[in-house]
Amino acid sequence: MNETTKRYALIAVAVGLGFYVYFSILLGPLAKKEADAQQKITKLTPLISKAESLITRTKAIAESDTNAARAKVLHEIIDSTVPGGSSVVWLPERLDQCFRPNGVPRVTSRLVNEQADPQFTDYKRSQWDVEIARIPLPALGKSLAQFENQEGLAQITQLQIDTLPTHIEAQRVRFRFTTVVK
Amino acid sequence: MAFHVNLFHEIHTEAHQRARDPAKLAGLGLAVIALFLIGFYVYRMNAVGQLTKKQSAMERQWSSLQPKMKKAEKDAVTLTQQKAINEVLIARLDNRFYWAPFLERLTQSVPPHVQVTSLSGEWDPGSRKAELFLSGIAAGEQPRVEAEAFRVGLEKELGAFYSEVSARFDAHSLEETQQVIEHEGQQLRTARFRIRLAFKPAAPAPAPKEPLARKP
Repeated sequence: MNETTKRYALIAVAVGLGFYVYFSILLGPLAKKEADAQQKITKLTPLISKAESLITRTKAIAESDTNAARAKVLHEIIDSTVPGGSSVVWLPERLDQCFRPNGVPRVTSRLVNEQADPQFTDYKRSQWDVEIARIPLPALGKSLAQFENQEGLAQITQLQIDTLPTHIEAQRVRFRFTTVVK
Repeated sequence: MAFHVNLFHEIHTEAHQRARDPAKLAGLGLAVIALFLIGFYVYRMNAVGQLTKKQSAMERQWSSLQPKMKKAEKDAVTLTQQKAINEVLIARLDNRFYWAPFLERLTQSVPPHVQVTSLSGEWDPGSRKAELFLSGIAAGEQPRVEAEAFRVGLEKELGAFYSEVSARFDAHSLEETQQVIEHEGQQLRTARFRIRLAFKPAAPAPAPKEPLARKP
C-alpha cells in the first residue's frame, strides 16, 4: 500500500467520522429537542384554549347577571332584617309592630308550616295565618301597607274580610302569608 | 507555417495535472458539503430555538392560567347558582301583589248605596292572578241597578291599574231581599249580590297613540 492510498483511506475515515458526529451528536439531540417541544406544545394548546374559554365563560356569566347589583342590595336588606333563630320568636312581634300604631294592640298569628326554600338554599319558607278579631277598614289598609313595605319578601296569599254584624264599621280579618326566614 | 517548439511542455503538463488532482477536487467538494451542513445545522438550531421559546412561553402562560382556571371553575358554579337565586329574588319582589293599594281602590269604588259585607280573596303567585269574591248589599229604588252600577264601576276602577279585570255576578247571586232600609228619610229596597272578581296585577297595555290611517 503506497502513501497516496493510505492518505485517501485516512481522509475517508475522517469524513465518515465527521458525518457520524454531525448526524448523531449534533443533529440527533436537536431533533429530539424539537420533537419534545412539539409534543409539549401539542399537549398545552388545547389546555390553554380550554382554560381561556372557561375564564371567558365565567366572565360572561358574571356580566349576564343583570340583577346582580339590585339583588346584592336586597340580600343585604334581607340579611339585616331577617334575624336568626326561630321565626316564632320574632315574627309575631314584627306583625304587632305593624298593627299596633293603627289601634290594634295584638294580632293572633300562627305558624302553619316552615320548610327549606328550594330556591334560597340558606333560607326557609315560612307560612303564617293571622287573625284580627276587630279592625276598622282604614286601619287595616294602613297596617297591611306597613306590613307589605316592611317585609320585603312576604306575600299575602289569602285574605278574608268579614263585616261584624254588631259593629258595622269594624271587620274581622284573616289572612295567610308566606315569607322567607333563616 | 512556422515551426514552434514548446520548451516548457513538461512544466505545462505538470501544472495541468496539478489542476486536475482528484485529491484536491475531493477536498473542495468536501469543503462545500461541510459548508452546506454547517448552514443547515445553524438553520435547524434557529428553528428549534424558536420552537423551544414558544414552548417556554406556553408553559409560562399555562402556569399563570392554571390558578385562574381553577378559580373560574369554582366561580362559574357559584355565579350560576347566585344568578339563579338573584333571578328568583328579583322575580319574587317584582311579582309581589300588594293588597293594601287594592283595598284602597276597592274602597274608592264602593258607592254610598252599596255595602260590601265580606271579601274573600286569593293570590296565586304561580299564575300571578288574583281571584276574589265580594258579597254585599245594594240599596235603592232599583237595588239591582245599584249593584250593577257598582260592578261596572269596580271593573272600570280596577281596569286602570290591573289587567284582565273581570267582575261578574256569581250565578244566581244577585237577588232582591224583603229587607227595606231607611236612608236619608227614604225607604229603599235592598238586593244581595256576590261578585266574582279576577285580575292580573300587570298594568293594562297603553292604547296606540294614533289609529292607523286607512289606505285610499
